[in-house]
Amino acid sequence: MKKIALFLLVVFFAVIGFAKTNLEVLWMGWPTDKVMTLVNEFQAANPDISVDVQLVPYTQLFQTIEVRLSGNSSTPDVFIVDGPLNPSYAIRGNLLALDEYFSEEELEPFFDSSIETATFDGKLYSIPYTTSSVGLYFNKEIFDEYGIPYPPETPGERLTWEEVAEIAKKLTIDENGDGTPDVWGLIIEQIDRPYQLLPLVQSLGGEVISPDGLSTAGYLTSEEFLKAADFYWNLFNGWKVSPQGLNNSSISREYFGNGKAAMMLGADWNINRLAEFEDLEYGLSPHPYFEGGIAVTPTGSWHVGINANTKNVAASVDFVKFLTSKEALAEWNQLFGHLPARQDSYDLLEEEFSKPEWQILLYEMDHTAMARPVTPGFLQYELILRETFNSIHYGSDPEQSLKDAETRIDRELRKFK
Amino acid sequence: MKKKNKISKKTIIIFIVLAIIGLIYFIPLEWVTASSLRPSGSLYEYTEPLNMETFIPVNITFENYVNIFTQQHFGRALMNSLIVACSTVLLTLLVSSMAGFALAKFDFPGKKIVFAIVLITFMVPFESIVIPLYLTVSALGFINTYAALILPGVANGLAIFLFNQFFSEIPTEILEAARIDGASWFRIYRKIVIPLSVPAIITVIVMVFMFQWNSLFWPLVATHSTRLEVVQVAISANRMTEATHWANLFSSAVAGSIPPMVLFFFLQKYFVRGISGTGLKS
Repeated sequence: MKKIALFLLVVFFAVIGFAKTNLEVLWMGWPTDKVMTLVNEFQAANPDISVDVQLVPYTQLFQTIEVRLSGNSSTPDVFIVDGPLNPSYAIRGNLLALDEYFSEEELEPFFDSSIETATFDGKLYSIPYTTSSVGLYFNKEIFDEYGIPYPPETPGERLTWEEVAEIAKKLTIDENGDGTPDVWGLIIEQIDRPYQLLPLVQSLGGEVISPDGLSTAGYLTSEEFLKAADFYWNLFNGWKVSPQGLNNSSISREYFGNGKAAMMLGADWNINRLAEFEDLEYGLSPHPYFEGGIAVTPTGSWHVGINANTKNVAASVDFVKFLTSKEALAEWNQLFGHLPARQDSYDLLEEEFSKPEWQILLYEMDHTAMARPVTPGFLQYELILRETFNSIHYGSDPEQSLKDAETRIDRELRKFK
Repeated sequence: MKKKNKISKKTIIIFIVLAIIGLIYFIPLEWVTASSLRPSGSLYEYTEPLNMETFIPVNITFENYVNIFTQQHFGRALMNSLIVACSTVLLTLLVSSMAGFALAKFDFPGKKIVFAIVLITFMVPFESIVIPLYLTVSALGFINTYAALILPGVANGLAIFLFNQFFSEIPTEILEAARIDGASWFRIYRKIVIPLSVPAIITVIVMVFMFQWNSLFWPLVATHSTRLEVVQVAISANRMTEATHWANLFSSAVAGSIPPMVLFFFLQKYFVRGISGTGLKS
């Protein structure tokens, strides 16, 4: 017994840390050494502020933020905000309105679509950190082997989805005849995420939610939405040019990187990560669109927000300003490959971004990018749509599934009215 | 002779079926272990078509293990999880066995209600109490300490229930005899009840240890310093939105499963007996 008591005593008192005024930051679970490079630079420049960063793995990030912000807690002072969740935090009073701390001049360099995402009810609630874009990656070796001409690799010139489907049919190959293709025609990197799938609908001119962001009835079963969903269903079930069950971005990339897929609709971060596959020779073609429709590409990514109940407003603002500065965003790009959410950062990265694949994506961000819908219920909207796309890709009827999704999403959105 | 043959045929079939079921459980684990020994980046090279190379790594390397200990402080995470799991086990044994003893052997007003509340506590899903729990722990000033990781797990309803069931089987006459001989209740608890309850104790040890070892969400919420990082947090840190570091994910998952395996290996005999014992005695 004595031993146990002694042990516990040691445990309890060994853990009482030093009470020091500091900034608590809740951040994505990116590699510690890379995140700390930026944080250490901030601390060197601001010796009076100490920054305590918690890196939370992506799968647990949103739940963790919810719990940490509960009961109007004053910490974390600064936290990472997924762009589309901005209205959800804002409407519940978790985010500090930033208009008075950031001048128009300071906001000028950020991409318009990112500022739009950060704005809710006319107020700015977060500062854009990174952004993103999507293109069509293709394996040159597979195209050569089967004599298919490469898709265009110049900014703004793109295939139609109909053409992509035809190529995918030709390049879905079952060499050993075991019934499972050795090479798949097309992989969608994020198989069920609205981020990559909504542009299919938007390319046909479809709207994906009501203008006030509070209703989906009639929108998810519109003619455009159903046409896009049919195309998506056919990829997996009709033409069978895409593999089912690949619901993880990293596994999609492993497939493409190891030559098990001819094309991949994938986001910008693949450019850096595909370098890992030494034998892979790939090209990047601009995002496809539907014949007769318009070109629309996904965009948006992480933002930084300040807790409305923080006791350290000044220090938090300083930290956010540092983190979203021209130089810091350029450096984060060098460290981790994310696209800066402000245009002037690219001036510092000219060498990197003069490469043709980046030129393609930069063109998209300037011309065809469309932010995800602004709705305080994005978390529920996304979750239910993901489930819906998942079941459609496994073969369930698109129209019925989307009808059910409308009912379920609208039930969730009702509480924001 | 005939009869004997029939039985052995049946045994063979059962054996084959069990072997297949065993294999189904074993293969994914084997694949993870094999993959953790492959050089980073070549994990999916051998997934299709399935052949021997899918399961047996060709170029064996230990770099993934070296990496997690040198670059990711996995050793510290293991240490933290051991501290948390072991302290929780010790405290739970003390608290839950005393509570179980009181509920099994004493009569007091409201006993049934208390017992019902204990039962409810382990039926409510953790997700539904996490916010009130966080607010409570936060108000106590425990956030970002070992205490936040250890204390909420201590009053374990399932452990109290198990002890209660086990202690109910001990004949009250023995305790009364000891009472007449002048032993205090605490002495009876310590000298008679606990020594008779080894299977229940072992069951609770394994159960609580595994619970703490596998917890991910609560440690993320309750602590925010890397110095308090526990094993599951360290493992899942290898998964990001845009990428998963498979090599480190697999090596850390394998390394992280060794301590519970060692524990289970030593306690296995008692554990199985403990579970069947608490359920079958009448």
